[in-house]
Amino acid sequence: MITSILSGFDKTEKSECGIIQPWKYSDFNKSSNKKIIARGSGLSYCNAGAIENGICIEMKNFNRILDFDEKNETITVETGIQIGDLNNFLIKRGWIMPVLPGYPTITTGGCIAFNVHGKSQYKIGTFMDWVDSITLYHPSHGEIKCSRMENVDIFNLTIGGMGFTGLIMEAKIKIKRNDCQNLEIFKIDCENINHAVQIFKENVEKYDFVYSWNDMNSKGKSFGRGIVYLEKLVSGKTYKDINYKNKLNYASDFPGVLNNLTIPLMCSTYFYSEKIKTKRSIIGLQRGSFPIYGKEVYYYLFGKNGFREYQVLFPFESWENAVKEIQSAITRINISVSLGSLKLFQGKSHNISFTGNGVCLAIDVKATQKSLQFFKELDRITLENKGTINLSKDSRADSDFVSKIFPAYNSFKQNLFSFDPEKIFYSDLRNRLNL
Amino acid sequence: MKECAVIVGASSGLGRALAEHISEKGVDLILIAREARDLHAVANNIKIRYDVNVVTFALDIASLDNIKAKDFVDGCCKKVTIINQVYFTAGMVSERDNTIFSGEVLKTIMETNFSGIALLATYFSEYLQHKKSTLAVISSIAAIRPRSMNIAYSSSKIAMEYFIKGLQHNYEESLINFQIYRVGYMDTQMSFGKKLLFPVASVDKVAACIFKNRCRRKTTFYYPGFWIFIAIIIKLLPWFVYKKLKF
Repeated sequence: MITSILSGFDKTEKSECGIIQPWKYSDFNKSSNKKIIARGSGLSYCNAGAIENGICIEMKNFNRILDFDEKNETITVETGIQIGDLNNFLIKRGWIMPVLPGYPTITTGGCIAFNVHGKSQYKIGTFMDWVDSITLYHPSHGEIKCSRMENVDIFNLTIGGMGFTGLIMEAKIKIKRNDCQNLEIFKIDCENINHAVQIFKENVEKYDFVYSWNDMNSKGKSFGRGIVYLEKLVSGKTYKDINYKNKLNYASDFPGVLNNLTIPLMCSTYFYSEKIKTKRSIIGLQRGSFPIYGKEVYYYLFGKNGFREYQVLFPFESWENAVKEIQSAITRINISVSLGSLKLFQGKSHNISFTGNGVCLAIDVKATQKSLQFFKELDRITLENKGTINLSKDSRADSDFVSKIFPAYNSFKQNLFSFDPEKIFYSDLRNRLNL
Repeated sequence: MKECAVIVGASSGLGRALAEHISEKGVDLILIAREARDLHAVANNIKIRYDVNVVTFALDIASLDNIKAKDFVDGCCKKVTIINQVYFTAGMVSERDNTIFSGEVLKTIMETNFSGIALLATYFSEYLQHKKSTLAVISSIAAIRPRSMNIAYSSSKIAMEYFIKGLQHNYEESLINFQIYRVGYMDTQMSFGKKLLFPVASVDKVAACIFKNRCRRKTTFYYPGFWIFIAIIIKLLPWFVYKKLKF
């Protein structure tokens, strides 16, 4: 075991943890009286895979495919497998992972623990909709097989359970037949943020992936102007063996260059460069599945103090009011937003996962004292407009706020306690959320 | 004709990387390791990804005696039509391996790193002698010269090297390439988190190098290559200087 300082992807939370990296199944049986938590690629924005003075179990060596059942349309994997690796395997054989988060080195275990979404949430749901069964390991309970038919409560508690029920060792995932290896991308200019949502509603059923980039520093009626990306799977054979590298663990001493002057400049440059580029393009599916891959420099620009993201889901009925308040908060606090992005969501709520119906908005800002003041204001807007936030992307929300926005907070907390009164699986996130 | 490789110690580290690399080239495999569950996970992954035949045997090589070893090798050879590569990647280290008085540790390390491998290598050589084939063992830079740390480990590795060279002498007229890899630090459980003097090699690169060299008649290889210079320096150091080194 080694001891190291671990931080979340946004670099705002840090803690000193012991780290072990098992190679064999028998390595999990070694007992310890410390709190433990599984760690995948360490790409949760918050410190979800770390625990101060506890032990992080890195799952990277448990990345094997155990079964590939084309007849029943499932694949069984160890959960340290990276989603890009899995997607490559499937694309090559005429299949696809239905839910793909933005970066290829995210592990399957992380996707289950946070019930993640991809670019096509509205049409195909979140990760939980595609997990058939899981094998969980907990020192007090041993190995537990659970699914929608067997140990249902544990299954439901583990999906979106942030790793608090134990180590997710294996998962059987439903896959989709797909012979298309290309992605046709249409870019549509939107005048403002509400126009983007209108374009979404008109096109969401016609395309496989729909999302937008929005300039949240533009003023007045052009607030949230940007580009809507409409993407469709199209035929073609472009498969290449790609070994995705995790380029997001950037050096912590990289000098930050983003500030109130450079952020609006960067956003305007991006907006106009996207505007003049061709409105229709075709790229390989492997490249197109992960829009952040290859654009990691954006995160390097924040420097050693990192950044903060606020990803919030507002119901359709309160969306326009929420947007007005957000615009007013940005102006009042005088903060520059380096990224705004939208998606449409539909689905039912689950534990304290980021699911539901409405419009999903992600906002990035540089991590400063002002950003905390801004996020406090966003908390108020979220609460008043019946929104929910994505906890995997938030490094500062407290238990009081989270319990107010998630109706299932108390039952989730109680169920976790009933399953594991000793709270063996514990992270900095769990500590902050008082779960 | 389709090739088949045997890997002893295939469930983790270099053995697992070698199994994945070799199968990617279309070679069938016989995988041997102590723990069946790990072995099945490695085997399933390889079968699914690379579409090759994989046979597994759960075996603790430290528990082998002469009869068991012979029976085991006979059993392996009957499973497939032709085996033409045998790789011994199994090995262990112990944090308690720092004094000659740790008798139990010494016994286990010698049985795993030396006698178990020696027994299997003996019977596999008998089988391979009339075929154009490779028998490779993974040694360590720890075998360059004895030192106060990891006494049993370095002794077991040098014993294994001598044994393999003995077999090579015995089968000089055969078609077997006997190969010894003196490998530096690798990114395995042995080196995880340790502050080391020299760069750590990736197991994937070591595996690729071993497979690429399988037809060469050379006996001793260093990987990464710079270790050969370190080995020469360490060997040439006079004892009065060497004894003062702490590494």
